[in-house]
Amino acid sequence: MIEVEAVTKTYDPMPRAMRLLLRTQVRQPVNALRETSLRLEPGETCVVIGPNGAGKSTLFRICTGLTTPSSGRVTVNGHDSIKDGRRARAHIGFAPAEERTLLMRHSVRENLSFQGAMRGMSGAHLAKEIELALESVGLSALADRTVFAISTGMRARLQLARAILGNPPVLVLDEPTSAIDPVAARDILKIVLDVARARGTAVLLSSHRLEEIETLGERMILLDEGKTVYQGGLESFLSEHAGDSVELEFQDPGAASDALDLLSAGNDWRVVASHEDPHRIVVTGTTEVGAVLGTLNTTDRLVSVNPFRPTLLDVLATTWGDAK
Amino acid sequence: MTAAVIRGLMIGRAFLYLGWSTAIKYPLGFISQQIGTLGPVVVYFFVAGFVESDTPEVGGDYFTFVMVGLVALQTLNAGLRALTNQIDLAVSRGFFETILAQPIRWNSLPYAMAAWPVFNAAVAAAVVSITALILGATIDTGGLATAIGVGGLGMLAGLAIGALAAGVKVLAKRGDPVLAFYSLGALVFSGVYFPIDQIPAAVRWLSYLFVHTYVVAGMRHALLPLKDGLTGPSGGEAIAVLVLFVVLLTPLSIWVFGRAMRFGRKMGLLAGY
Repeated sequence: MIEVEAVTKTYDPMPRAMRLLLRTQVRQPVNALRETSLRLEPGETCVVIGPNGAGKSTLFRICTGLTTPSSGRVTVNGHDSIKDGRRARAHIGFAPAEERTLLMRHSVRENLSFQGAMRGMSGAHLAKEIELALESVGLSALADRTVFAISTGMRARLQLARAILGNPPVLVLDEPTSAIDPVAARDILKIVLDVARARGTAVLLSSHRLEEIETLGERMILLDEGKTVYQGGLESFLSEHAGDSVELEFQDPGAASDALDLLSAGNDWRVVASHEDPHRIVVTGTTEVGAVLGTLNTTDRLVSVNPFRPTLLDVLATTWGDAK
Repeated sequence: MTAAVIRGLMIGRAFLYLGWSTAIKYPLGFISQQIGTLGPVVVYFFVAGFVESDTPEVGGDYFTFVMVGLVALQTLNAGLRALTNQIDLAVSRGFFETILAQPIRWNSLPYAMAAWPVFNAAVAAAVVSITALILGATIDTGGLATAIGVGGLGMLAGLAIGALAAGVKVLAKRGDPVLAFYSLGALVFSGVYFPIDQIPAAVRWLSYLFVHTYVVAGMRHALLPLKDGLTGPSGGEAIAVLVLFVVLLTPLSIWVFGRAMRFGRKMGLLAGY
């Protein structure tokens, strides 16, 4: 079980005396995470989403004890990630976002062997755990291949194998599928869900992939600029944020742009340009077509008005825009 | 043996195997590195023939005098540079973050990560010594145990200084400001290439602040055939001072390294490079 309790992280500028060692770009305090809370029970999976710089990696680093929160705390099976970091880390399997964290010139098995030694395993017990992990991620046949020589998809599986080695009760997976094709990503996700179900593992993972967010939508947390914009299920998120919408289609993109400016000013609804077609705009939060059209100066260049069900991408774009 | 020590040894063994298995994956690089350590032995073999010095100040044989200094330097530098080099490698290759996320005591990292380079340097020092003996270096075999003791303690003291430097390194990321200044001072003041009584008397006391001085002088006193003209501490004195260095510097360096890691964690600097 992992519990994040009102965690805030502010990155302070380097103290003056330390700037001689290392100069950073941080000149003012940066709020990377604000009062974030979540609790994951065994077997639960939660996907963390948000644009780049939203605070996902900071949250994961705090969970794994690599960064100290400014306030709040994270506990893993009751162990504080900072004060009792070693014990907390013993309960976490962590897969960082970058595949270069793997030992590229070593074999798949050697990577797991080193990981196992770091986690306190040895001998026959380690050998058994390695076989189990390899089997779980479907890498048994490639166990003795050099990591450099296997595909990116297989490396993603190895990252996962490394995280699940020794059956830790909590998995923290930072964008485990970011570098691989959608089919390979689906396979990885299936393995993660199977592991969570079979072993009762709590899984916290981040993703930018819409299909993954939809698959893992039972539980999601949406971050933007460190703030928790939403936490809950995907369906309720969509019904809360998508609302009722109408789509207006214009003869030319200029008319659509003018309408967007007009409709954006001083109304309860939200207006966004369609990301697929510059002739269209979407008005969310109303079905009162009359009120919308009344706000426009003219309907001369209006081609059509249709009820609209926004996609997840539309809703995310709107939500992130609102948060800013 | 406590569980923590056993765990520390296991982690050290894992890093030792990692270093070895990485080294042999680049065979030519590994071999050329080993051969490279013999370069100075050959150079000073010819320089000694040219200098033809057998004065008491160099223990009766300039070639042996320099070779003992060289082995002492190799041993010490292994301890000094091992950890910062390993941190450099782990950070630039991206697996430092993965190591830190494991259930290990971060304070044990200085010694665990240094396992392979220290072992490698110890073997290289042995190879240099044997080659020097083959080329005509003459040693007092009665002082061998003292010399090994001095070398071992020197390596431990070097590791402690290396861990202090690594504490700065995890924050500074590039460059070794501590080691750069220390090595410069050691080069000038510790008498590796010339006896320390050649240093002006006004600054000679600085020599006694460097571990190098005790290791170099201690090993020379133990191994060189003529001891009367040698300057600096004797083998026994060197061991006594080096024990003091190790006892004081080891806990201090582990504490500083731990503080630096905590500061890096607070500032969010541990995973960057």
